Amino acid sequence: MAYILRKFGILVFTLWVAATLNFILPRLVPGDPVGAMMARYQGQLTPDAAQALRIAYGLTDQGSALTQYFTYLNNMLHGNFGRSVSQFPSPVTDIIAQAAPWTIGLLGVTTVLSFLIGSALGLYSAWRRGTWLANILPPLALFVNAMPYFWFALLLIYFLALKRDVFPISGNLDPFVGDAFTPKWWTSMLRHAALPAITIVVTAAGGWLITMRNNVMSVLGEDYLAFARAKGLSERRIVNRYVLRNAMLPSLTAFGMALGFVVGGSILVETVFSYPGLGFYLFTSVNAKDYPLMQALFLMIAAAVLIANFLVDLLYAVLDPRVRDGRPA
Amino acid sequence: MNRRALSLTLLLSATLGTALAAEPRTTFNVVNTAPFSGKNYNPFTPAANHLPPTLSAIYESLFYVNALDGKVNPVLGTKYTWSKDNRTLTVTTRSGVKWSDGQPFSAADVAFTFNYLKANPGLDLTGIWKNGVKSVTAQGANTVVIAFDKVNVPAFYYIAHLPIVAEHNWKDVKDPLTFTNDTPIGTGPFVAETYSTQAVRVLRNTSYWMPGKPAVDAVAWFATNGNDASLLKMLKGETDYGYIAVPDPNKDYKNKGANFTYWWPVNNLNALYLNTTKAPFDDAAFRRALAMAINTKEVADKAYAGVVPPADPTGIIPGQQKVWKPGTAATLAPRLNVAAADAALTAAGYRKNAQGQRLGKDGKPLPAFKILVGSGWTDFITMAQVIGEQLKPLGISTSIDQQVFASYAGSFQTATFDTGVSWGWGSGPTPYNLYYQSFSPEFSAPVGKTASSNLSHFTDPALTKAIDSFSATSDPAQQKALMSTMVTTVMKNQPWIPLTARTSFNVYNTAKFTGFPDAQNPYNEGSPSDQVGARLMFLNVKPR
Repeated sequence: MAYILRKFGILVFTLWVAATLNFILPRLVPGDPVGAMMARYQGQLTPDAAQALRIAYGLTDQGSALTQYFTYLNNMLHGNFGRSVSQFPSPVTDIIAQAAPWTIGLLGVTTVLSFLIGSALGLYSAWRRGTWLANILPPLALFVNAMPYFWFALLLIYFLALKRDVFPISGNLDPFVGDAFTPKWWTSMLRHAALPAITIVVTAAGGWLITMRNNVMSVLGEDYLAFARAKGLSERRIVNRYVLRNAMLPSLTAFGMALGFVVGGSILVETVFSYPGLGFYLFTSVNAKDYPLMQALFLMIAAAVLIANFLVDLLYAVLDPRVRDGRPA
Repeated sequence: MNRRALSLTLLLSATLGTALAAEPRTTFNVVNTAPFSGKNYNPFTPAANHLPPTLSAIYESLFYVNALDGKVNPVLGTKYTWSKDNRTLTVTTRSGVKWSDGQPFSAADVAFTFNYLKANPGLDLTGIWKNGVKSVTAQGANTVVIAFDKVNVPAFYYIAHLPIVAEHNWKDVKDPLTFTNDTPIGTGPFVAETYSTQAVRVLRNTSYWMPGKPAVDAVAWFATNGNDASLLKMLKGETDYGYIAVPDPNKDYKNKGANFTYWWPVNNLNALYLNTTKAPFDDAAFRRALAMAINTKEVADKAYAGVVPPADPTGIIPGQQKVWKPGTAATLAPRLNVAAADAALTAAGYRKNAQGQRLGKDGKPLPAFKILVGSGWTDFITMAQVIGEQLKPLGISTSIDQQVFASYAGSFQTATFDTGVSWGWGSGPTPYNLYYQSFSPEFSAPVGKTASSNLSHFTDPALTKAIDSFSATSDPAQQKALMSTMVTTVMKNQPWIPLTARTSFNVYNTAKFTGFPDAQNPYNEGSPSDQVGARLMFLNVKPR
């Protein structure tokens, strides 16, 4: 219990630090949003618009830095992140609510898939080493894992979307697909998700394969495994109860982290495929100096990583008795 | 079992059936080089914040002034007259126009729109109420009277382009600054239909006031995340129009097929701005000598693959030169002559030392001055490189200072730069807008404070007086004389060095449609689709 409480305390503290940094950092960047807006219009907006924009964006009277900080913390606790500047007047929360399902759907599913596929192949290649398939897997995994992500994505786009019209080049849905969740909608959604999903699974699974293979190899050398063999346990029981359970632990930590990075890690895939999820909006908001949207997204990334870590810690307490019973020495 | 299969087929055919019935027969497809902002049809938010059909297809203004040549096209206003003293503008509004909800449009709606901006200053993006307008009233159903307390004839441009909204629709809007106007009611040729983050579509307004128009049933915009993706869509024939800055439009677009055409009319300039608050750029003789050493033809050719011409030394765009370029401009224009530039610098007190370095007036070598450009902007970086090479024979060395957008703009505005390449921060139907916004003291500021648009931070009493007098007269002869004063003062002082023309980026695929604006028929300035002028293109394009 003390273990969990301590971990929770650390979680809350780091979240506060992240939120504070998130408040300070954008304010250190030179330039003001209205000036940037004026310049972006390249002389089409009259300079009188500056004052109008200041009023519109609520930049006229903001109070001292300290007041702003407490307003910010208070708003944040109430889930109020203000209005986006680049997509004014949409509230930031609306934009995130609209984008999040796409990212979590695409990245969440593919992260789990690549973990499962990669780990299963890793286990196989360690357990059955000596057969040709098991031997060819690790170098292949190293190769696909080392492949630059966007390069593989561009290859797929070139061959499967441009040369042959198998999959769409970009986007998440056909433009005029009609109501959501109809058969037409599902088909369109899956067709659009195919290429980004393949890219992620292929490039990420290799990493899991290597990790899992290494873990299994080290477990195979343990005495308890020799003992289990000597007892005459079935292969299946050895794999499930002895090898997998122990080899999983280090992988699980990494998997927790990977889940946390779903939000932040989506930038590349979503930019390459113009997939309108959180990463895509993070990219565009940074380009447009859209501080409210940036702040909310960065905070989400930080929170996702921290919470995922916390959950992994909890899971460890369940899986590994040493952690659960561990007392300060 | 059978029954279930049957109902499933029925359900499927029903969904497909309705989908097919709603599909318009001819759709004009436009590619957007940026993702859409949220669902916002509020015409009073800045253009980047509302959806592309808002100003170009749904809402209309009183007039459309073509900024290329100053021609005024009637829209909701049919006629306008200035009073003798230029203090009253009377506009006759069109009769027989209906809002898309069926209610009649009248002059009262126009008066309401103007007064709505007065009540909500955050909406007044063109500063109509800050620049002389005193009152706007409707007289009867077809006349609007706009009274001024300060004479300001050029304000007509902004008055003409204000989007007009329906009083019955907007009078109860609580917070117009954050209102997203989900179901817009306009007088324009199209009505809003579908919005998603991928595509926006509008359908033909069947009761539009111009008989027989528009010729297409729908206009659709598709979002991409940049120029490359947009160009691809154009080349694949998926879209008919795009506003895309292609680095070499002949090689990368035109030569790829018969239907691929582009029209890039000149609508602005790129100039080398000199920071006149800082030595040696505070010296007009020094600035003029620099101008004599810069070969703008070479700058333009290298930066734009020969597609964009050099700028006119006055900065006036070709469409406006016939009316506004004074005869004296030719004699004042700096002549490319490096030897003469060298001699002029020496004569002005900037000698060369034995190593060939140019010395300041204090006798010390001039430091290498920076040329500010946006980071990664290849055209501007090329310009800076070419200029650097061209100034070397004078013993002047330069370095390129790349900055990200916000600090790039900030360095200009706060006068913390040496020299820098940027565009004309002001444009309109006459060169007045350019000169006013670029050189009026009200848009300048002391070093460290933010100047709106006077990037050289240059002011001159004669120039200021000419700018002020220009806005106070509607007499063409007087305006021409004042414009001549503005042009000659700036050319003599050279606070900037006009480098290259700046153009629109219209890219067409003419496989399915005709009637695009082009050099033979430049009926609009060729603008991205969120601007007033794009409406004319959507009205004029016809299926082949």
